Amino acid sequence: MEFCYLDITLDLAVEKSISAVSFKGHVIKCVKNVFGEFGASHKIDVLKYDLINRSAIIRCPSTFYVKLLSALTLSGEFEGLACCYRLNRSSPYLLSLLSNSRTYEHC
Amino acid sequence: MLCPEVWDFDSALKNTHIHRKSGNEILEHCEDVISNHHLNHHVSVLISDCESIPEDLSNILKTDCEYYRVHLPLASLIDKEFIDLFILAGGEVSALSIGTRLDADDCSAALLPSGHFVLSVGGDRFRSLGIEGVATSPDRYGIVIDLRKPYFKPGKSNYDRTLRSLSKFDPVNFDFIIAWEPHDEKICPSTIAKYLADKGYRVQQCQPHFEYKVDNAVSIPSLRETPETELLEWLGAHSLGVFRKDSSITSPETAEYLSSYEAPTDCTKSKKTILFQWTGFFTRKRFVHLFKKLRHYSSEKLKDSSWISLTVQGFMDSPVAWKCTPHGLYRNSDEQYTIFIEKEKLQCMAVLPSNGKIK
Repeated sequence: MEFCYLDITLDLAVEKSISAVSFKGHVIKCVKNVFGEFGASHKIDVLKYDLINRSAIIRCPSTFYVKLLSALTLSGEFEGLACCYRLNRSSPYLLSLLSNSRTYEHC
Repeated sequence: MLCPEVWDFDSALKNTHIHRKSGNEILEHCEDVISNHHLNHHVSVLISDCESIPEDLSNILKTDCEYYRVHLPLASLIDKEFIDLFILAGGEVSALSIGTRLDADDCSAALLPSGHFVLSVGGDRFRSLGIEGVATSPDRYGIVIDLRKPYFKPGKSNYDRTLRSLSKFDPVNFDFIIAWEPHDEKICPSTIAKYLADKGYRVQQCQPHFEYKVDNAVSIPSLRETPETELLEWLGAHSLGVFRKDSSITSPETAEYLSSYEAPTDCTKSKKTILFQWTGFFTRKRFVHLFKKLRHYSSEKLKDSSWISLTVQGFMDSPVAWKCTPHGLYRNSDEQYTIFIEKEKLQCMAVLPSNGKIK
């Protein structure tokens, strides 16, 4: 199976730390809200999670990439708090997520 | 009437493929790959099994790897004196505009070691410039000017028109990162910084960022048995620290819930795995040198069953990826290469545009 990898960050209106399990639960909930049970049945893996920044590297099947991205874009609430997902980087190669030349500060 | 497609959306990301090569003429192929990838941002070297940290390798991209951040107008890069001193005299200049996004901003520029000045501009800008170019994607044009051509000099209409157009460019100044590899070892690469500072431009010296990680008892996949996608996925996962113990994973059930990723089955346990990572701006000559050092290290000190990987990535917003071929808008910096070095064997995996070739 071909996969796509996304480096995403969950921005919340109030600073709050979220566990990896809650993070994945919210991603699946976002997908379910837009694409129902069928959408939520797709395999989404949280490969790495950063508790402090609420950012994660997630993997999904290539065929589901566009739908996952749209579901994350349309999400606006996390446990009653206003939220939005920020896509830092996405690629069909996990190695590509090693660097981000757009945010790198040359000094 | 045909029913419109409302459910199947293909990922726009997948417009590259992995080109795997080994066997005959692999050394020449690896050198070609290295020297045709001009603008390099990130490099990681993984030694799958070794006793101690090889100091000579860790220092290789730290010393004399300074580059400069300069605020200058585009026209200054085609200034005749600049071309004569730093390009025609035999040196290699690598430069790239930073803070200019390829998919959102109007202009991105680069100067390649081959002496080509490359611009990627939006449609309106392209028509107002009046310089020859080709369409690279919808409403995006690529302009390539060969600065080494003997007729590209003041007095010739092509040069004068290009200089006039670039002098009128708005914004006037761009932030560039620039590095120079002189043709003679006795000449200091910082000469270019002095030249630009003397011209009155703001010059700031930059150092590559270096870090290394050591992991013990890692399951290393076999190079021969593992399919390339799985091998590169494992390499990515290891480099990103996916296998390291994480406080967010409290139990095996949690780990199972979070991810179904499984490492390749054909693995051997290594005692110590070392990962070096450098980020900044590197000229291709640095990697030719690094590749030589790694091959030397592999033949002298590498264990029979272990291997080294060299992964090099470019810039997301560079107007070119391989040689002078334009960088696709949706390709980010996926165009990269990984070279696997065994004791007496090489293997190269380059991510190329779909149906594309390096040469």
